[in-house]
Amino acid sequence: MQIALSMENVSKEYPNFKLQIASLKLPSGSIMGLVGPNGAGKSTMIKAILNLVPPDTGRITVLGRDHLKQEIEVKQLVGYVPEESNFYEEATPVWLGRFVAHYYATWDDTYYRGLLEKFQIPVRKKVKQLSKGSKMKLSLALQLAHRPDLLLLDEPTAGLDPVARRDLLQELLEVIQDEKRSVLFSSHIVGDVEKVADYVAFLKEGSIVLCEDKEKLLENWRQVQFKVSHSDKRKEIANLFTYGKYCGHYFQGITDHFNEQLLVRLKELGAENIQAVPLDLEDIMVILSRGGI
Amino acid sequence: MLITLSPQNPTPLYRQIAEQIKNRILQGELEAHESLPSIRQLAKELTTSVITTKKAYEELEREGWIYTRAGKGSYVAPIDRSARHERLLNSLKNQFQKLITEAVDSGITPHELEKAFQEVLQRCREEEN
Repeated sequence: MQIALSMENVSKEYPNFKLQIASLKLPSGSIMGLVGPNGAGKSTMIKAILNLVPPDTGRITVLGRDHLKQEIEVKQLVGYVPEESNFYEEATPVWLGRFVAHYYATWDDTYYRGLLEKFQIPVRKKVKQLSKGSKMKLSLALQLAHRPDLLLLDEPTAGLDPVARRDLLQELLEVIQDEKRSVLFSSHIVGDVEKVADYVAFLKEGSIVLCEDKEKLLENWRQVQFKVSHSDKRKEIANLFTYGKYCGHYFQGITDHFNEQLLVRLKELGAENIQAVPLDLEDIMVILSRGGI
Repeated sequence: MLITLSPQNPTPLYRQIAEQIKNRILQGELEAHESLPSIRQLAKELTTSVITTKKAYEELEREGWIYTRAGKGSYVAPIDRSARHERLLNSLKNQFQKLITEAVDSGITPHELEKAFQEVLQRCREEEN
């Protein structure tokens, strides 16, 4: 399996904040969603990949190429859609296409024109006349048109209406129809990540606290509730959970390693009326952010 | 391929996909050796992740509903009618088992269960007529 993006021991220190990525790997052909509260370091992490924020330590590779030693090559392979694009306000999408084309050997103008049409971007209008959604789509079209192997998007769905959001997610899935290409996108709209991401990385206070295959994540996390009448094993029961609390005879807990054995063990310890409810990504994110329920 | 996904449904998405494909095969809508969309195509069609469609196909393959040829794609497996029926009954029994265990755990007696089952069965029969 080829690795599209790898980050090892990457750190960047600011007076009040430290980004510290111990290890992160994104396999080619997949989409990774980067989630986390505001200020967790999502944008900084994405910028570090492009050396827009030079890391203090660590090693970053894109398709095996070092992001510092082979910086130009890496930048050719990467498409970056920032949270806010600073286009020339007076420029038109057609003009911008011609401008950006100079920087990429792989620029495909037919594809670019096709994307503008598909995204219904008025090609002769000036940037300042475009809506927020159109600007985001323009930014995406400019980055897709040089067919990058790794697409990095910072909050691409923020501020878009549901239809535009769906179009964008569809486009990300279109990118990975080619197994050699990959996408990393940050979002605090967890539903978007839950929809299309294969891997979810959760960033909190500059560190990745969880990075997992999405299906496994949803399978392993459960909210479990039950009754405990015999009280001598209460502590032992609570220790089986990552987070949990008693309320009289009832216990409510969260586990990140749910399986049949856990249920068997709980019954052995005297739990009754066990109910296990699946959690969605948003629940999991809130629990991780708060560090409890 | 027409598949409806419901995020509100507590059944995981990959299982919703697998179930619906399984039903198509059982109803003969998908025939033996018919080719299925690739996991990437299907993910795009359903606006869901590749890892989800991949998991659905893996489950279908493990249960013998489909087979995969490396580099070519996935196809509907030929299943003879009696084996298919047997498999369906077994999967049904497993589902019953889960349901019954859950019911007994929450204090419903076997007698009540039997009565409830008969009632539902009766209702279904009436609806069919």
